[in-house]
Amino acid sequence: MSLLAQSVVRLLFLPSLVVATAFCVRGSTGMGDGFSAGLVAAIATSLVLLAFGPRQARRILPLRHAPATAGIGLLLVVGSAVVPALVHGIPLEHFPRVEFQVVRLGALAVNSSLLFDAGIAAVVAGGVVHVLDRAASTDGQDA
Amino acid sequence: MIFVPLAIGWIASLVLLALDGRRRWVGWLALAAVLGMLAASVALLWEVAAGREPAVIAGGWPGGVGIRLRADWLGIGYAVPVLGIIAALLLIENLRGGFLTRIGPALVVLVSLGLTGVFFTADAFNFYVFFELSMGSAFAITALGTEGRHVRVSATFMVTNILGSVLFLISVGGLYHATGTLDMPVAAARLGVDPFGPPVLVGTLFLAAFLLKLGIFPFHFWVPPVYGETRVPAAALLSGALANIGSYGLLRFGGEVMPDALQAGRGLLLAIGAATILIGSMLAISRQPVAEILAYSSIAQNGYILLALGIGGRAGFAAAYIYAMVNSIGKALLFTTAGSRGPMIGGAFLIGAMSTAGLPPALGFVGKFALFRAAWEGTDRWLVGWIIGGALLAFLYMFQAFQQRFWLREDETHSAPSVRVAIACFAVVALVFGVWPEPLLGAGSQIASLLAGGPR
Amino acid sequence: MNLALALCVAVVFGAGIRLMLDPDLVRIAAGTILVSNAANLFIMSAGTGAQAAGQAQATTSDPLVQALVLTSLVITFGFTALLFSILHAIYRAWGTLDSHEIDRPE
Repeated sequence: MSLLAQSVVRLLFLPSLVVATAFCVRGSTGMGDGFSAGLVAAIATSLVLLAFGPRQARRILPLRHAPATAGIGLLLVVGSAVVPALVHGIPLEHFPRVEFQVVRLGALAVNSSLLFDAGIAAVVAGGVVHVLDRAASTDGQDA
Repeated sequence: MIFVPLAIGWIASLVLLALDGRRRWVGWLALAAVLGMLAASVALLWEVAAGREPAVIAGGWPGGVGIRLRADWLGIGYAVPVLGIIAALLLIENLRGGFLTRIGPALVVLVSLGLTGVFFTADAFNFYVFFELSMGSAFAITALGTEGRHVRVSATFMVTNILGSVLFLISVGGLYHATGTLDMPVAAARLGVDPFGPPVLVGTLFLAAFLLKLGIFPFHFWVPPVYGETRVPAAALLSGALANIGSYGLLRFGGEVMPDALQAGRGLLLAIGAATILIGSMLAISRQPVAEILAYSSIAQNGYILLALGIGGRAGFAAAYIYAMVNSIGKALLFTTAGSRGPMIGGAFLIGAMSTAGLPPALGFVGKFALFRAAWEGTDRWLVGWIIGGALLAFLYMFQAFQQRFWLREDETHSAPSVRVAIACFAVVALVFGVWPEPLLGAGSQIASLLAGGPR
Repeated sequence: MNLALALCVAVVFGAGIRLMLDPDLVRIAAGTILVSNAANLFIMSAGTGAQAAGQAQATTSDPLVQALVLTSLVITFGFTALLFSILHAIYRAWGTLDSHEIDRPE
């Protein structure tokens, strides 16, 4: 694709990832959630794929780790559902529970829903990027 | 406690997704997972039989706020047989040589997980989510074929069933509009007794969605190409396990959530059921490939379930459940034998055929008899004649299929002996339940009490 | 649920069904997307809050409905991805995406 597209995408990529993280983290108190975070990250990656072509995009970004990302995301999601069920008998319970103090990292509250949203973001981003990567490579352009 | 089958399913599918399904041991691992889910469901059956109703609300939220999972007779009555059917199909598939694709085993476990979730949830939207989980995995399973025609019918299957799911989603939305809640018992309480208000619109949409899922006239057009041309093990899974979502949904949403709408629609249900039996059976007689005959037979048999629902009341609901289970086991057996060759396979097909036609001592006789009794005790005696007519037609086309498949053809290669033994065992199980139907009848009457509100 | 929203749902659903009746498979896929989104819009209209709060005008919206629609959107998204992968496989097998060509008896 054209040089203009490539430079724009190069500038846009990292800020898009920051926006995605913001969506994921703000989800509990404002607009956004894991799904939109994953989508924004996936769109940014697909822009890179389009602007640079599959071969070069694979050199710039670690696209071959996309399925593993999705797997880790699934692990987080299923873990937040199953682990409380194994411990307390209630699936998807919120941790920390009401009686404990909220653990904060600066202004960010660290709790199980953050983990869950991060997992969903990883699943969506990893899955979409994997599908796009495979679709791009079966058109005979690339191995 | 009730979450255990779902937890097993989730962990197992996660593990299986990471493994290569083409290796033999991965297929066996999938079987172990489904057997684990079955065992956990049987433990829940014990609880339910003792009179307790295991339930949990996800997230520990108070009642009415969170999503409730609960096991009652209807859910358990579906979960245990369906998981058993899937386990049997997995066993036969493994003995036949294993899966040919990486995600085959994982997809079957995901289908089981989705079905178990459907049967155990008390939240209408959660029903939709688990429903879509099993449907999505089924779409992927049918798309795993090696020939072009497999992929073509997979697209047909997908588009029609997505439409069905959208209709279901709209009805869930309508339920929320009308009652302000998604919890099924609460919604049932809040829906007024006026049968011709908003509930009837919502009920019609639910009916349309489940009719499409079951493949009943006038939504039967997608069944013959899909069941007929997809790979035989996939067809067995579709007809033996997935079609149960349709009958379960009708029993749950029609029987529990909107019983008045169901009562109001009796005539329609009877008419559609009767038409389906006629059309399915007549079309089955004129077909050639066995898989297509079985596909049309599935359509016709599902018509009987609708007849039972139309009859309604205790006898009708019990008959609907019993017939649905009997039909799933029979169809799974038939599709599996249609894909194998060898001496004992013919006998197994015969048992399945007798079951479809309703001849004793095969399992199907129990279903037909329950239906007879419901029709005889009800107000529409003409149904008995229709049921008998349908059974005669079924006998005709089943005999045709048997002749075509097992008499006129010289058997070239036999399937492996272990496969034949497994299929023979499956057939024996079907016979055993035909001779000793007490568990099925007992479950049926419990479900009928649950839905019709009579004394236990 | 006001009239504008109801009309919107109707138009989107109708457009989706019209597309699903087309022989081109890509249009059928686009039709399913539209139909699913019409359903999502219908569910969203349940959350406008007027009847729930008992007021003539809605000042708050129901967050449960938003969560429902989000889940439903994710499911639609996944199924669309799967549908397009299947269409891709059909294209590789047949070379065309016209359902009349594909359904022609061999």
